[in-house]
Amino acid sequence: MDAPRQVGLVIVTVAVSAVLLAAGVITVLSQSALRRTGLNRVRVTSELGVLQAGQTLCQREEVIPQGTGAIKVSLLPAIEGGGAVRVAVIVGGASVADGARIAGWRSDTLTVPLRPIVARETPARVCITASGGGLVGLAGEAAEDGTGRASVDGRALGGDLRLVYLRPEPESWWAAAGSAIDRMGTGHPLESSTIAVLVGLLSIAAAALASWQLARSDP
Amino acid sequence: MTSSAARSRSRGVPLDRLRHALGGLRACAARVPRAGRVCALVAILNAIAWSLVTPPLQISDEPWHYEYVEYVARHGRPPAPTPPRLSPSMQAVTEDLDLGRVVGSPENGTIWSDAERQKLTRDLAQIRSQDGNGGSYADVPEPPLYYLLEAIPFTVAKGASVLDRLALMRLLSALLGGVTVLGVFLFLREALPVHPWTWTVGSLGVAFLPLFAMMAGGLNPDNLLYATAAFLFLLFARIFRRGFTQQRAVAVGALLAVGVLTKMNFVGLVPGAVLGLVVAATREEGTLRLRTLRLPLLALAVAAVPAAAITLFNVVAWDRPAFGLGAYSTSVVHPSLSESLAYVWEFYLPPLPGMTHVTATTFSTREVWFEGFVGRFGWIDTTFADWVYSVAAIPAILVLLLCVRALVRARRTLRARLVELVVYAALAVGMMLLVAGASYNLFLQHGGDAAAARYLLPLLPLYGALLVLATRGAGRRWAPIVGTAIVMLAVAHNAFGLLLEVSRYYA
Repeated sequence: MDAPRQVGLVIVTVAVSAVLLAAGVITVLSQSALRRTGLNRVRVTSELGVLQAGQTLCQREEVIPQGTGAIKVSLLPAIEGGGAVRVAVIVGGASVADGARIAGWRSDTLTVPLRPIVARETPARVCITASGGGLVGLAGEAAEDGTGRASVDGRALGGDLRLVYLRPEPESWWAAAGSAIDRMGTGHPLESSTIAVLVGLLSIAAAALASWQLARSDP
Repeated sequence: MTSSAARSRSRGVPLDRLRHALGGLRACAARVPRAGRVCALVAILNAIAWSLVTPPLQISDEPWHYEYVEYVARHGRPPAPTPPRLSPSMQAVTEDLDLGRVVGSPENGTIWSDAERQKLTRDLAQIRSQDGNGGSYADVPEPPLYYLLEAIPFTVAKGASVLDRLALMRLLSALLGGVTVLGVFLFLREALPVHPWTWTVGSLGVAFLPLFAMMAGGLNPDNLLYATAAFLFLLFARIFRRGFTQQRAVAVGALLAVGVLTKMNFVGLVPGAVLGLVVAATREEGTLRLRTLRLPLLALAVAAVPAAAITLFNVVAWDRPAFGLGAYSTSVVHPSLSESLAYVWEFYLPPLPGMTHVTATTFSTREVWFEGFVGRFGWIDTTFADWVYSVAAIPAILVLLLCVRALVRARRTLRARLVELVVYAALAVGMMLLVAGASYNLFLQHGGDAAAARYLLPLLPLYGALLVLATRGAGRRWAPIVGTAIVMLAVAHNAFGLLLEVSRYYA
């Protein structure tokens, strides 16, 4: 096969691959799901107990991120269907957002929508009330000092519940990109947006240089 | 002569030397083909992208490596093995970044809330004490060369915070990543000289390997180890192709010294290197006599001088163990031969029927080595979805098949170069045995292990050769397509690796 034809094959392969890669990236980034606004980074390593109907668990020293419209609570899987749950975000003794889920859930996490959407980052207590219709098993991390931040009806639970804060509606990665980019600058000497632009430029430059080098010499 | 003329001349001498040295470097760089320089540049750019995406201290052992550099920069010597004590500034950073809850918990991103970030910024500005004891080197008192190099950016960034310094030190690792890829390119040029275009394929395949790029974007002595190993492979390829000269013997010795002063793992390459030296010398002389060993002994002497010096300093001045402890010491364990053989086998391969199963070892070839190679990032806690590894097996098998095809077609050449191949195999097996042996030792000491794919990255030149052979195995008609597809697949693999990091830590 002559050299120009081989170089042509390289260029065509690079072009097709680039299109496929771009399509793959666009597909992945367009997937829609409830995106996180924050989390308390408590790990699920222990069973913390069971919430009976009418009991309320409150966890102090939570930070509710701006834009939160739902809370995902880690629970023990309920094989026969978990009980109804009501969740409230309490600031200074008053509820600033709340929501509920009816009984019958079975998974190890329960997402409860909150309204209104939390307008700005705020320190708060998160309270979960079992409203009947089944048990609510609690999962989280046992506290080293045996107390923790969570308490049931004023009695220390001995650990912390894992809580994940979510956007109110499912979003693509494109829509969530701003928040992710903002977090990339944590502790970094460069601005978040500068880092994101740099990463994009460096990656594209590396791929373009590689493609150019493949195409410029005779295979 | 007037005094002003003398002063002028005395100023001129160092300048002349500098110009001469720069000229030498330029001449050296000019001898490297442009393709090699481009591949190295690609590796550096990609490694910098990884260094920016990966949050601080989220690459295996990074806090401890930072502490070692800090200690070297402050005290001018490596730390003695003592119970680890982080400096107050690093302690504050690890707590503020909630490292204990992010490492090993892929469901937890790095810190996001304004309150946490403000606390980090405040502590970075206020807590500047560097009064640590050098990290957790009670377990593994690694040699100091990489840390001495990293002490340069650490010191240059005088007055900067822990994280600013870390960002700068990561850039030096990225440069070493470029040096590694350059070494791989030159090795491929020397070892597989027939189709120059394929050298680019092999080198770019390495440059875009996400595991390698992640390591090159982090603070870790493995980066100097990879570069040294790549150039050791290159030197042996050159010796077997162009002959064993005194200059090359000195170069091998110097590389062995650099490797031994960089990381204890390099010792795994030493038996293969010794075999290579003896075999090359015998081939050169046509027979094995005492005189034949002149060049191998020269190489080993060159390597031994700095190694002996550091050993002496360890014992006499630095209160450190002469050769190393922890993963490398057998003084506190009682290994059994049959169990150690079984362990080493099971470390890489599925157990054979009737083989003694070593209690508590649950290595899976697929999980540790294949999945690790495809991508287990950070503290080996950031993984792709399971199906990705299954899909990745398809191109991996195709590459292997094409490679086998190339080897079968080149069997006559292979026979002629059998001795050289044995040396490469010895280098690889030595490294694999060392990693398995160190892991067995950790297992005996406290049930731990050292099963991580990154420990085999000193063998990257062989991975590059595998990609070259796969391209050649496709035949002349298909080689341009297959070679390009290999590189583009690596580009895609790398891109999704970066996206995985973003989603794990920031989304």
